[in-house]
Amino acid sequence: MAHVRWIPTTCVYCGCGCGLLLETTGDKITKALPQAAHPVSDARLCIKGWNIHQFIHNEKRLKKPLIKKNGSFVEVDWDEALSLIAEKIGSTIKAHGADSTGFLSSAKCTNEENYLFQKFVRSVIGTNNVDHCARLCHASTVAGLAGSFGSGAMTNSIPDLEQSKCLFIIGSNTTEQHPLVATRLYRALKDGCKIIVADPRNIPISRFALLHLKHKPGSDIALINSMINVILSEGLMDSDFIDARTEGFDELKASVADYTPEMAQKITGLKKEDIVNAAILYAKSKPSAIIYSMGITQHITGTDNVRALANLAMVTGNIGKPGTGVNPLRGHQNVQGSCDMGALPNLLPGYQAVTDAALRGKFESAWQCKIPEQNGITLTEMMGEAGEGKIKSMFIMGENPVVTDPDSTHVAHALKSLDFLAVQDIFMTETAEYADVVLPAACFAEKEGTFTNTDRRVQRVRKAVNPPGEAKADWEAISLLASAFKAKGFDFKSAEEIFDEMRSLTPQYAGITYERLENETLQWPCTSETHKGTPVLHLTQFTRGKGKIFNIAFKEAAEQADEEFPFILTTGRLYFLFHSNTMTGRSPSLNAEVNRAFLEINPADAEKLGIKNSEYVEVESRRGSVKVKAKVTEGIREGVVFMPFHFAKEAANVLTGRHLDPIAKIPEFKVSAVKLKKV
Amino acid sequence: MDEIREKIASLIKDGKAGSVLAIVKNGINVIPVQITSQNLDEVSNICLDERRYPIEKMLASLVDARDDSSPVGIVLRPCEKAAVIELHKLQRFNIADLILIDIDCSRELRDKCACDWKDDIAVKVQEGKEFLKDETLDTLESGTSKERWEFWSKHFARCIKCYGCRNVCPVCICKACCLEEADVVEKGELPPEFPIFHLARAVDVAGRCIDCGKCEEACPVDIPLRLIHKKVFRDFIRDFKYIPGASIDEKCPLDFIESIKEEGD
Repeated sequence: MAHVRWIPTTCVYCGCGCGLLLETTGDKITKALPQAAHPVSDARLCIKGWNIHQFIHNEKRLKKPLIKKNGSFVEVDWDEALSLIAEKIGSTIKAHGADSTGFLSSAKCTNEENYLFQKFVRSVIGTNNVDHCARLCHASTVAGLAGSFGSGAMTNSIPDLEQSKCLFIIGSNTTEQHPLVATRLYRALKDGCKIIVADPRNIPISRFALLHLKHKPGSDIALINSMINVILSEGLMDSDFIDARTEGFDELKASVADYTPEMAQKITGLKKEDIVNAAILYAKSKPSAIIYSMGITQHITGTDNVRALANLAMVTGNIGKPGTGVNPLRGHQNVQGSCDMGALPNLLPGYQAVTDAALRGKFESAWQCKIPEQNGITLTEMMGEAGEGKIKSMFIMGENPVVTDPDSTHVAHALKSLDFLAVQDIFMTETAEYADVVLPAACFAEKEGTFTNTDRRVQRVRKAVNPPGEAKADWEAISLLASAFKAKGFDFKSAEEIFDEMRSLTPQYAGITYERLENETLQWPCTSETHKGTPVLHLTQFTRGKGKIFNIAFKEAAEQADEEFPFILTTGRLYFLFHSNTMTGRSPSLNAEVNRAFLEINPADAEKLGIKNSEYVEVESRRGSVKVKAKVTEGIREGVVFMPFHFAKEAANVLTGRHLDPIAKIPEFKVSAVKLKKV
Repeated sequence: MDEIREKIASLIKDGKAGSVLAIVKNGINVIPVQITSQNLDEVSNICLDERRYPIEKMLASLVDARDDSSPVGIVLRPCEKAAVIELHKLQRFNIADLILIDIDCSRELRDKCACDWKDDIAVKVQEGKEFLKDETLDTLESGTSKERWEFWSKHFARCIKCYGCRNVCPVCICKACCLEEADVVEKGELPPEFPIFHLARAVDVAGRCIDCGKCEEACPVDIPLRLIHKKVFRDFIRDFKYIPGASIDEKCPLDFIESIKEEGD
């Protein structure tokens, strides 16, 4: 009798970290369904989770390593592929130094794989040029909240948002992008919670909001500072909290004095009364929580945006208690984890600074190697330097920058400029097409490991079936690659062994073991094996001691609408799809919902341009142009247009620019000046 | 519970059942397991958890995967047994191939569910007692159509089109689903079109819905879906004098295809 099994594991799409069961008959996964009694998803899933099995056995999965010969890919065995990678990257290092190589880790991979990847890059290659797509989503959160609170992560827990009396949702389309977080928001709503949405578009939750502030993209700081201005002038601040728990308030008080609602009205395009009402509502209805995402982070002022929100929470004492907090919703299922694991050019695992000799020394003695003293370069800088010929070789694990990075034409140029590119992925992606070597990877359902979700919850990923053909788990591939470089310290027999090495060096994870994860749900920091984990951060004191109130000034977006490019383009995801569509595009049920891009445009703008619904429009920015169908909708602000970025054809990122936040180096995906023409 | 565990162990040991489907608790994981002679020790982990699984559909997977004729055992709550009876009548599988092992829900869960299966709905109906009482439903029914429209449009505005209600529904077993037809419900829109998306399902399962409420449990945005189905279930019993899920032999009044086939014979 064919045995039917239900394997409990963690969803591989968004940062919610929902609990799945994969129904498996023999070596085929036939269904996915929600785990009962799961702390995040509680027996529910979104459409992506329910259909997650659909891409796993797709016939296009990579099954053999590939080497490009005379312009086309040829199947080879692992030894040949790995030797070639070691030879090519080795000769780049010899000729130009280790810092002429760049390595992209992946938020789609497990903690174990991210840990091992950065260990390989730092100890074997000898560079800190390791980064991953957190650079494109929450790099500004990591930098911003680390500065304000000492820890760059969601302060509270998904379940405790149900206790909020006011939710300030800014730049997060929670219902579509984090559906199982939205569950909690709707429950709070049922219990009388008031919702404020700040977003230039109508989003599903905005129809339940008491206030929907459709502010101009890039005007967040003016809005937030003005809310603080109102709170101070109305005497609604929490002076006890400010005195006891924070520093820098007096400077803030002086600096926000200019941000009167009248002044903010001009910058944001909002009515001043709405700003006043939002401020009073947020300050008066305690506990209040802030929820934010890419609408805040993907700006040249991303880090400042995040710190302005931290200020707002601190002056009202809305932090360190259930139902409050500054809650960034992380995009990928393990983008929190891949940051925790040090897949970042300036930070070792556990946010331990590369430039700190003592901390570096700890890793050097554990890994028996020398780690470069200087920070490496970021993902966005790597692409820039590859385009300039400074980065010569790259290795990309589980990322698809051709679709997801800004200015796709430049990304293609950068990848073509490389002497050597290796890509490790589950499908032949648009990025892998540019590679000299492609390694076939196992997907989440074919390996063991852990993911860390947006509320710092470390959860198990379990193997349900074998990978197709010769595909291997990314950690196994990294181990083999390390041995091709004749390196020691990569001889792991299991993901658990890697986890145990990692936790011995990462204080936040020190108390977490695979065995404990069978019996408990644990959120980091969990510093010893008797520590119960931390659902709410900064309870009695901030990680850094006192909360730091930064003085934040409004700065305009890099591009403004002007005569030549009169519209602001903003980009984002759709509920039914995920990122570069590598997995969702191969899931028939999801692909059937949406398989084309579109341009959301306000009816008033559409009328001026003579564009009717479903007609084709040419959208042009300073980088390039795409033709796409118009979706005429009242839901979007006049002067602003929106495009989803999932599609390699009709690609939104052909239009977006490489303007970076000076601290976090995150690109300003949310503001690009464009012109529109009816086709 | 120990009695049930022993019973299952002996069913497998004595070769009376090829395998038994039950819910087990291993640490924090509460999961369904197909217990065979290979993993008989799982019997000691069998549990009765608050949260229910679509175990009837899992049973169908087991029956499909079976490559011999050995009976499949399953541990069932009262509502789940009613669903299995419906699936037999829908010819999804033959109840003669199964060994049904009854298990009672906890008192707390029965109260929470306002479950009428515990006291046998058929007896209540026969004795003219009140059944499937629901205050919210009564209030809604006594309201105006405008009030009802507002109630439901407010709830369905939260819908995220996960199809979870359909996916867990024990009696939603069509191979092609009208909810996935672009001609019926526009694709890619959130929330999906109201009321077609939600009412199509309510109408479709009339006569086989057994008011288990698993649809509501699966809803990520807490839409009170069971109210709709309870309404259909209650009216169906009243108007057709037929209780879905109550008896193997009684034929559903809507089962006209089967009747036509019989006439043809």
